Amino acid sequence: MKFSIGGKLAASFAVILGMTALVAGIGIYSSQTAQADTRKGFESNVLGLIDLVELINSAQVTRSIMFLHTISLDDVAMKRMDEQILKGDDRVSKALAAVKLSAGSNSEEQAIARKIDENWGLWKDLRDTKVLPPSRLSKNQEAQKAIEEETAPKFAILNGAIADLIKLKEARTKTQMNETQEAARNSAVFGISLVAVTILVGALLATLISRNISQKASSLAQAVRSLASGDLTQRALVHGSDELSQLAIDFNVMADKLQLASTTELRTKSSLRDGVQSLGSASTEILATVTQFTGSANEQAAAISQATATVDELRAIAEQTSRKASEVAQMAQASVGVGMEGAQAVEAILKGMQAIRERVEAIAQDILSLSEQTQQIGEITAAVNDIADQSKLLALNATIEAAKAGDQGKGFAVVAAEVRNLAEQSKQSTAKVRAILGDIQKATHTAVMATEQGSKGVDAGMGLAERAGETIRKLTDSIRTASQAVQQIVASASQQSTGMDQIAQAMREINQSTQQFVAGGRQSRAAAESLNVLADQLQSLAGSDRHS
Amino acid sequence: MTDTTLDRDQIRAILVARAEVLARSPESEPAGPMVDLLVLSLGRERYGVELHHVEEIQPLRGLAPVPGIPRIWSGVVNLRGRLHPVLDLGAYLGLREPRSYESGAQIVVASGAGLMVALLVDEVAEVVRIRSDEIGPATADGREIIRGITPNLLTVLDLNAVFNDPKLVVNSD
Repeated sequence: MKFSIGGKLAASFAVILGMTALVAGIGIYSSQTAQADTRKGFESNVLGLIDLVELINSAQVTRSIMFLHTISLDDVAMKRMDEQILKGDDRVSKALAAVKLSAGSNSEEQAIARKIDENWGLWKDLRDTKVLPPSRLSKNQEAQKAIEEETAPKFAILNGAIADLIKLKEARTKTQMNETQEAARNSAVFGISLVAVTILVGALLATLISRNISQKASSLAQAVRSLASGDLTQRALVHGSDELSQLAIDFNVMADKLQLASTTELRTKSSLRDGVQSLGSASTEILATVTQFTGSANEQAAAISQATATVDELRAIAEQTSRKASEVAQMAQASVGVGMEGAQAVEAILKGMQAIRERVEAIAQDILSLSEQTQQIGEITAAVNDIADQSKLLALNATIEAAKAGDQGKGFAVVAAEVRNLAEQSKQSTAKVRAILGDIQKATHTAVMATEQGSKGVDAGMGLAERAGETIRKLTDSIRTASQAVQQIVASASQQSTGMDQIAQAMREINQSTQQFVAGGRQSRAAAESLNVLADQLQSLAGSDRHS
Repeated sequence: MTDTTLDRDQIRAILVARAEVLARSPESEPAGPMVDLLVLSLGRERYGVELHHVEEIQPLRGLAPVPGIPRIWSGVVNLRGRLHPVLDLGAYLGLREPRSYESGAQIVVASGAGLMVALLVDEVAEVVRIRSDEIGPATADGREIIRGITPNLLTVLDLNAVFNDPKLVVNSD
């Protein structure tokens, strides 16, 4: 390839432009041809048809006026009609001239046009000679007869000729239109083929040129990439004489120079690298130490925070304890008062119990004496019962004696029976008394038992009350001791609370100084880290040439 | 009752009839021979003896037991210088076991069949007088010692028959 890239691109663009211009020229030419054909057809056929229509129209108008003339009887109107007929003749002759002109060089049309002219002349002569004169003399029937017999056949021939001419013109128009369409179609097919050829040629040229350029550019790019990745021995291939080839040559020169420079630099860099490495390890050690230091400082800070929190809690607990202790002291004081009241109440109970016991003993004594008296009554009653028994026996013996005495003893027997009855009654009474006495004795026994039990109950109650009093006394004593102990506790709790406050204050101060310590450690660590990063950067800078 | 209202005459007739019934005097002095009975209590049982057999009634005191005699005989008592054998009537009649001594008991000194015996009883209740023909025959056969039974179901003992009873005989052998 001897052309430059620019030259190649310019040449191929010129080819494509030329072909495009050719296509455009052909298109313009064919469209102009089609336009001219269309116009010619229009002038010779459409305008000719218009002339024919004008001819028919004016001939018919003139003929109509002639009919009106034959049926009119007014002289004035007939004169006006004569004038109109003359005007119509003028229009017809003008139209006839135009028709003759449009016939042009076509012999067929010229023949028909001549036939029309001849018949028009004949019709006009017959009208002027055979129709109008009788009509002017009001011989209308004669005029109408002349129309039927003389002028009508001529006019029919005229009409037929005009119709022939119209048919002829129509046929010619159709032929011309077909021709025009054919021509247009042909020119379109030609234009499309030309466009296709142009596209093909353009595509071929573009492919060839681009392949040529991209091959060279990619081989050059490959070489540049290898160089960029550190392969200083890489060189580009050179063929041809265009700009890319020049570029490849220049690149090769640059690679040579770079290779030379790197070999001299390598030695100085290795010594630098050693230094940077030792710097890096030193900074890493510093960072490790600072990190460790910061970590332990953080742990310490956390531990101190925790301890501070714990001390705060302890302080709160100590305050609470102090409060509770004073509450307990108050309660203990109140309990001592209550215990003393309890002891007094127990004393009162003991006195009351003593009084009850004396009363119950007196009642028991009374009931015992009552029981003894009841016993005596029982004895007396037994004596009475004995007497009654004996009285009864005596009465029975008296009855027996009276019975032995017979009739003289009858009255005595009655007395004896009465005595026996009395003895019986007294026996019954004593039996009742004995039963009542038995009940009384039972009741007194129950009462004696009850009083004994009451006495025992009072004794037990007194024992219990004495024990309760003893217990309350002991309780009061121990509460008093507890109250004193609680007061001591209150005092020591408030001391403890104060000590806790001081400890909390000290812890807070320690915490603050530790926080400052941690902050300092963090700063040291940040500095060490940035030093380490710097060392890493240096090391990577120094080590990046190791493989080149 | 179909006719609730009676005639005045009918009512009068009824009232007169009632009055006659009520006005009838209680049984006039018994017509037949009367007999006096002494009523004895033996536990729940009551026996009657004719009063003409009875000499006197005494509470039991100073009973002296006699050995070697049938057990229906309780012993002897001294009444105003006379000794009387004491018959345990309850044991004799088979009502209960013989007892050696009864405190509060009484003795009825009765005579019959030529003997004078003190009958040991729980108590002497009373003396009743009834018509002798009211004493019905004893139902239990073989009881020769029973004279009969009164309408009040009082068993009347025939003391003559009792004292002739061979069971009472004390064998001197």
